[in-house]
Amino acid sequence: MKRHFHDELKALKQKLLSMSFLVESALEKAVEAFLGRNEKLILEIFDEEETINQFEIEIDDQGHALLAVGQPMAFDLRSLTAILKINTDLERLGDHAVNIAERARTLLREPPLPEDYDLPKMARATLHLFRQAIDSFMNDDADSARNVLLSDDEVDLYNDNLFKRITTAMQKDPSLVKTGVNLMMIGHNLERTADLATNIAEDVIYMKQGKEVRHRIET
Amino acid sequence: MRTMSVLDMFEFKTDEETGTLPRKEARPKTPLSQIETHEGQPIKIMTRNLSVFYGINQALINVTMDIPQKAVTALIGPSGCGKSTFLRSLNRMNDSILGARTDGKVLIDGINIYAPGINVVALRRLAGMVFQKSNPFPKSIFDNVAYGPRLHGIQNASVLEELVEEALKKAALWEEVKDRLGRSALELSGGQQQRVCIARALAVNPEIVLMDEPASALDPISTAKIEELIHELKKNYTIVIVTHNMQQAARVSDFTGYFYLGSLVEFGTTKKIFTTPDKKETEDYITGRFG
Repeated sequence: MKRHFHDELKALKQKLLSMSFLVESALEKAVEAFLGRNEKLILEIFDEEETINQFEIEIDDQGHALLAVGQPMAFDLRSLTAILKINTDLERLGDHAVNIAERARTLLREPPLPEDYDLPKMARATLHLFRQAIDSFMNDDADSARNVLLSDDEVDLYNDNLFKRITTAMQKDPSLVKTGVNLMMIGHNLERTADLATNIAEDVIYMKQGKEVRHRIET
Repeated sequence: MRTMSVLDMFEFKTDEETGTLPRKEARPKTPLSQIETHEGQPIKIMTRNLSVFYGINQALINVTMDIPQKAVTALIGPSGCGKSTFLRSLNRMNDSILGARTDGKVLIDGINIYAPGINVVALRRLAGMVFQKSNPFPKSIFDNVAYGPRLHGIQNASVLEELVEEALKKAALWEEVKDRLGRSALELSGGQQQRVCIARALAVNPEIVLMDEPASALDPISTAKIEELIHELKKNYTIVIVTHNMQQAARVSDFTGYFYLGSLVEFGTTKKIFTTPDKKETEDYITGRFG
């Protein structure tokens, strides 16, 4: 049986997908702006963040209306709560893109980096995790979401190495402190981005299978 | 009126299997309701392979369910799934249907209510019923509620007054009708009439209240009153409710059973059934993808 509610739920899911494209674009631009020292991209990210915030409010509003009117149960309920939680995660991800862009702007006034400290690799791994988390949500694919959870450690490892290498570099050459601190903050924002991608993946697993996997608890 | 014991159901003191009086030492030392548990709740009613036939049609197929004590259990499922038949089998209301036959067991506090020698009138006092359409007698409010106690031999006017007041208070109707107990129950609104019927069921001190769509004919305010009442009543009674309204089942019940084509598909806590049911059939039904 076809239900009007399911059409509205699908439409809301599509809207969340549109929001995720914007977030993905903002994150990509942030990384590119930092690596390519591109000021124009930085300004674009600030504009996109406002649109992302607008999406968050609209999705929240429509989601709450659907909760009240549709009174969903079971998979429908889990899907709708997943949409609302992922909505909040996406908005936070937009903030992280802005944070990276702000650091990139500061770094524009500093000399170019002596080395990349594997930040491009870390950024690629992080963006890959984010895309995989969103794909698993759109395809209701719990297996793919579980892969996201397994891959999060890779980004953590990059961040740990980044921290150690930059600390050593700053100890050797104190003139690198300003650059080093900004690079660490970029690393931190990428690491938080990967964490939020795993949160999305955890929500997908609960949505699809009703299983709680957060905080390494499996029900 | 004193609280009823399950043994009062026996016309002849019989054992569930043999039809003989269970010797005192043979009876469970601890009532079954204190031994069996479901999600930490003691069990009041157990059904084992319960089947009901109407002539050659089987309306209920081998239903085994544990209904917790002092909790609300909702029975849901599409029309014709057997949920009302199941409800009616819990106080042998199906007995009155010509050609109806029951197999399997229904145990209340461990005693099979289909055993020979069971006093069905006493059973129905223990397990009262409230129907979809309120059905007050064409009598005064007082006489409606006093009907059951009088039937059970209570004639003393002050005792009856006390019982009626207590039952109407339990049914959350006392304040609305205390000044017009002599007026016909038929003058009341639909929601009030339904609460008269609930008071009538409570007046004989049951332990179990069976409700068949008790709010389906009521407006939202009356429905909310009945739902709040159910929430209050479960402190003292075991309640089983059949409802087509899934939001209502979710609101009022602690446990839910989903029936389909005469079988119990899934039974569990209401939270589990309405958030993460185990069976796809349950999921499809409660999300409206069924049919």
